[in-house]
Amino acid sequence: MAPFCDNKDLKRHKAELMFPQKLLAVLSLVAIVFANVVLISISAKFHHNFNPLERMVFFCISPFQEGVARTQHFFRDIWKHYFCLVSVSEENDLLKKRIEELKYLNSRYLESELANRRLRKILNFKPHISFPIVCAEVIGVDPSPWSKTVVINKGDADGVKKGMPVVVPEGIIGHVITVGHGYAKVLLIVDQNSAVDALVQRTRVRGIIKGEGNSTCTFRYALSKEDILIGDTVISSGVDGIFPKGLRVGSVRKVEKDPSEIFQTVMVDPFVDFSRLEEVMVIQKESHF
Amino acid sequence: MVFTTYLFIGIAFVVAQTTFIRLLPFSNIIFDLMIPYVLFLGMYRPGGMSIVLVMVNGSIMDIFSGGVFGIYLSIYLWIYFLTKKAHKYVMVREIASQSLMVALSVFGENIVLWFIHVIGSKYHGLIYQDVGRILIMTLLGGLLGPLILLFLRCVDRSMVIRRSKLIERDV
Repeated sequence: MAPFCDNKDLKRHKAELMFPQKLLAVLSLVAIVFANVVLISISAKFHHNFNPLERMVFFCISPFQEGVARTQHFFRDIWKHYFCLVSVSEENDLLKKRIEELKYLNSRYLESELANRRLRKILNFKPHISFPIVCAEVIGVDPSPWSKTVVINKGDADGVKKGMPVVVPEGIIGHVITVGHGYAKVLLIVDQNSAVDALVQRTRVRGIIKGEGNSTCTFRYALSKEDILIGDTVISSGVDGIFPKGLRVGSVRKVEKDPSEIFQTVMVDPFVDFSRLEEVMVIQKESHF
Repeated sequence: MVFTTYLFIGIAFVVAQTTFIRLLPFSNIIFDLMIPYVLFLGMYRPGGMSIVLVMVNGSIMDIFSGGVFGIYLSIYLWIYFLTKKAHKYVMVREIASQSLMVALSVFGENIVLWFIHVIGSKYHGLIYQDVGRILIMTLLGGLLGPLILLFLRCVDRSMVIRRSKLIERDV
């Protein structure tokens, strides 16, 4: 053993014998990784709302997003209005035909609506509760391809609150999860953290529409004996306290029944094309949760 | 001045990733542009300033992402510290090493995010697609990442030149 210069060296040598430096480094690394995982788990468990600092960050960065989105829309509009004139004439003919079809459909729906009103009166149904709507523009999307949220340009200043449902004419989009002053973040129904209480319109089978993190959803907890067919329309049941009853969600794409399973696997394609979201409507219905 | 420039570059990457890039038809296979940025800070910038930049931009990514809060912050900090450590073992300023480091970081980040994604998902039929997506992102990261590093290096050089000119003028 080499002679030690002083007491300090001897102490260090003894400490190294007890805890070799490599072991100490590995233990520290394990401790840091463990602490990191624990902190993230805590963060996941308690879904936080925006604190003032985060609101400020949101407030500062969202205008940039809005600016980029507007520039993008401006150039897209130029493209649409000036460079695509070649196809406009053809499209015009098609649209004229479509208008005729829609006129016919409209008269049918008007007739149905009148019949519906009469029947509701007869059955003494409560009138349909209508909520005020706020129109918003999508100004940002999730930076991660693994989660599905969008940022809209309306916030608590416009009466948007956490939990309010967001829709487009085609169907449900999602609900507001965090709100800033003039901006809000919307969790899309295709996100894996999203769940909507829903039912199959034809057979009234109830289940939960759960996002799969891509462009599809699954209709969960539908018993194997229940009648669900490909092409069936799924609508919101209104039981979850977020989405009003009867909003369109999607259509059934695939049904798998396994005799050994209690529930069947039902894949649902949302009616909304989430890759082309531009204008959305926030229904000012306060969540029960 | 330097801090503000890099802060704005980071914010520009976040804004780009949350606007037009995610609206492109192939957006699902575009890797996280913040990774070359974090690697650049780890390779070329001094510790104190760059760690603050990594933390600020990581938090901004978390605010705009729909995932668990703190996940991007953690991933970026780990990438940053590993880059600092990698100085001892790899010639980090060589383009091949940089390409490899971006690819590895993209792969690592997506494995973590994918793992969290799979935990919450019941339908496992898409795993093969996910693996393909991660591999494409890794490949793109390896190919295009060094270009982003080169761009950041150019910004860095131009700032150094500008500062030296100012000093000369003052002298």
